[in-house]
Amino acid sequence: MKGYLSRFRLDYVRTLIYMLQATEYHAWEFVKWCHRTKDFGQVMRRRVLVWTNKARLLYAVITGVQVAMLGAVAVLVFWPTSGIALILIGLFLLMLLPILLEFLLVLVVKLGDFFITRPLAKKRIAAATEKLAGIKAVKIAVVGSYGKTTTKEVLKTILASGKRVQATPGNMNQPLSIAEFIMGLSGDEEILIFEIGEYHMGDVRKMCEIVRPDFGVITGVSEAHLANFKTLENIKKTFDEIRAFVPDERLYLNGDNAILADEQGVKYAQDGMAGFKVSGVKLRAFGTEFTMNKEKVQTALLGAHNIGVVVLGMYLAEKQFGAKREAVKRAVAELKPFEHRMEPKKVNGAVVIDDTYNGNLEGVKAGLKLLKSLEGKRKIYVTPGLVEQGKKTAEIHTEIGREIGFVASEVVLMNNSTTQFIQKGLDEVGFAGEVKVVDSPLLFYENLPQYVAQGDIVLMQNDWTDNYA
Amino acid sequence: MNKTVAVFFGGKSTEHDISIISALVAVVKPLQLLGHTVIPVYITKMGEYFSGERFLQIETYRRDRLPKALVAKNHVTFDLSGGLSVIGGTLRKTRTKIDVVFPVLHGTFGEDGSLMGLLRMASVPFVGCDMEASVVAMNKVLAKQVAESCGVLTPKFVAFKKRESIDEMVRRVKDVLKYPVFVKPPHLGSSIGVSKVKNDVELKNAIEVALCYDELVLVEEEVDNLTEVTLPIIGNGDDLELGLLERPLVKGEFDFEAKYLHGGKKGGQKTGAKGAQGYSELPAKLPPKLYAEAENVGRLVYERFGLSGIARIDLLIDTKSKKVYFNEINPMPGSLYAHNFAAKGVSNVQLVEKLLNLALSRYEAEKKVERAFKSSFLEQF
Repeated sequence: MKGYLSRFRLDYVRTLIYMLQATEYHAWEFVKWCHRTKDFGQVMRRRVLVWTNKARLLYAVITGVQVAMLGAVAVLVFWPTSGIALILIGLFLLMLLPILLEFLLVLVVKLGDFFITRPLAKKRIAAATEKLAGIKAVKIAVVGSYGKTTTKEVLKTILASGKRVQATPGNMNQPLSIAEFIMGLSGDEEILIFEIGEYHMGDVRKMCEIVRPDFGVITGVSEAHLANFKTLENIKKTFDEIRAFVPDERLYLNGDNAILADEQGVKYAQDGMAGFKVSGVKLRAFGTEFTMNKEKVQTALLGAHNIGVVVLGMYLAEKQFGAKREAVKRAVAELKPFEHRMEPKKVNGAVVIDDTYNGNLEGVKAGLKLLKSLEGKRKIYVTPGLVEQGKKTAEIHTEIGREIGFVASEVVLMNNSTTQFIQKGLDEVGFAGEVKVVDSPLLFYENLPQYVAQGDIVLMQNDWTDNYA
Repeated sequence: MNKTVAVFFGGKSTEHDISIISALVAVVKPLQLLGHTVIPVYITKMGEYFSGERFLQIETYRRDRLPKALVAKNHVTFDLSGGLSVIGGTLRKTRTKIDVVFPVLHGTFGEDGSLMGLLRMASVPFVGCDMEASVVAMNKVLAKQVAESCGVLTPKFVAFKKRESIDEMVRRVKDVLKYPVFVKPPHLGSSIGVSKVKNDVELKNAIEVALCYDELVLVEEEVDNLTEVTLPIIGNGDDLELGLLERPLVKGEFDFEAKYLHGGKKGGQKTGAKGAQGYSELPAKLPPKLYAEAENVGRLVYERFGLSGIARIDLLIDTKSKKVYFNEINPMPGSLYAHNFAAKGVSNVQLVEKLLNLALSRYEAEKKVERAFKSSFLEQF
């Protein structure tokens, strides 16, 4: 009852639109979120509503309807000749108003999507496809459950050592955002790198039809978005959709990923790839050093899992695009950790590695491997758990708990649906360190300088946004 | 177990403002993160006591906002019977029983043992040095005399009471010491009222300034080839945890303005760690033997003065003769010297937790001391 009453808050409509925006206008996700929300005053904790044109339009429409309905209720209840029946109907309508507004919002979004968004997007995508077909640049598509953005950025920096390169910005990896990127191209680029996202089977095929890639990279297969894909096999099949566009000899697979290890394609891994042998790896809190074919290579990127990506960049630059080794090495030295992806910082003397954009088991394992290799007085591991793990939530988080238990000395968890499973895993391996369970990881991050000191290493992984509350 | 902790700060002291920052930044936040209930007790410059949530916000202390907070409904009194209770409210009185007191007062009427005496009377555990040690530590003249009696070197000094004539003071200084000398009010910290003088005229002025702040004045010789270091220590009795030797990187005067108002940069170098009191070299770069010697002197002073909880020992080193001199003690170092302990690997939260535990263990030990005995003395009357 208290939860329902919170729907009568003055900022209710704004909250609803924020929720729609946070779920990327997925109606079903939005409805599910609304119905598990206990207090609509506590929804916007991590982010706030961004006032896009779409958000403004929805706000105007729904607020208009809300005012009209409140007016109708007022007439029914307060009209001098209203009988008890009309007053009860008015009060009933008032009680129902929040739910009506919620479903009205879904209806408006669906109608808008069907009559406006989709036809416009289709048109824009068709124009982008046509434009891209006329651009002679070599096209590289990057797909995979994890590491797509990092791989794309690493390739962009290294390949730029000899060519004019453009890549899709940030983690924009959906058809419409790819189309917008294409429409902004000047046409004289020599290499174009596309990050291709996946939420459903067929997504990779759809975007490859726009891009028509010459080269492909599969960064790894893991249980990401399992709630949508149901099985790991379905996820793998989705990535395999790229094979219809790229031949095996130009399809590069992350050999460190067990699922891809025996698949057809050219493998790159932390021990190197064809003709590029890696040895003498030194993992540090502020960078990585390794020897490649007797030459020392240094990068500010962290973790052994990034070595394979760097080697792939060097291989492509030299073998496919004719760059010189010295120029390539300079480009590798220019690589910087990306925001919230294995990004090291100094906080009150401690090393804090921010890997909060990581969202999968493989990434968790890579982070823990790095944490294990570093020397620290206290090794503090912070995670809210992984979202969208579907039916495997318990299994995956228990495994994460076990892995953490072998490496960390202290653990900070968020109080949510995954906590019990991580704790179970910790118990299974007899973890004896301190386990702190916090309600708000954000508050913990803000107070991090109070918790850490010289010699501590903190690894923060994963993110738990409001829509998973 | 979570405790109700009363944090006392502000106070009738020239270091009133610094105390507010120390309390809010270094103590309140870690206590809250540890899950304790914090009862702020703000003492005005006039010695009035106030409490309430708003006193946990730094904005409250802005000149335009403070009068709105200092109203009757926020005024508190104390009940000292059977522990310490904070009594607040106007129409409906509220009573909050305090488990531990965390005094974060610098200087007079707080750090000097005054508050500790009151807390001992209330029989409530409290953080930091006990009354006797605080009284001795905060009287620089007494502290130097005690240090000398313990065999610890301290710069040559003379001390005067306010009633003595200034001309007589100058004559005695000239007889006993050689210029340059430092003139200090013995009960103040944060370098307030401290002057370095090189002749009689400057000496007279400096004594007058020092006597504005104190009933006593201390005049001491400068140490040659000086390297000034500070050493924060926590612990009770023999079980001590030393921070790092820290060297303030300020050339010339290291006065209040340099320490607090210019972030410690007045004339300072731009290297080194940025500590609570500005730029400093942390740890101080000293030859290992001299570093160890300074640590030993710091430890010896802490033990012999009976300091407990936390204190910062300030030392003066003649780097040529390798002699380490005792300078002074801060029983409640600004912001707990948390930056120094953090550099040693102790986080702010861990530091505050350790200090709370030290307070409780000292209290438990103190409880075991018999304070009364049966006597038939009164039967005679």
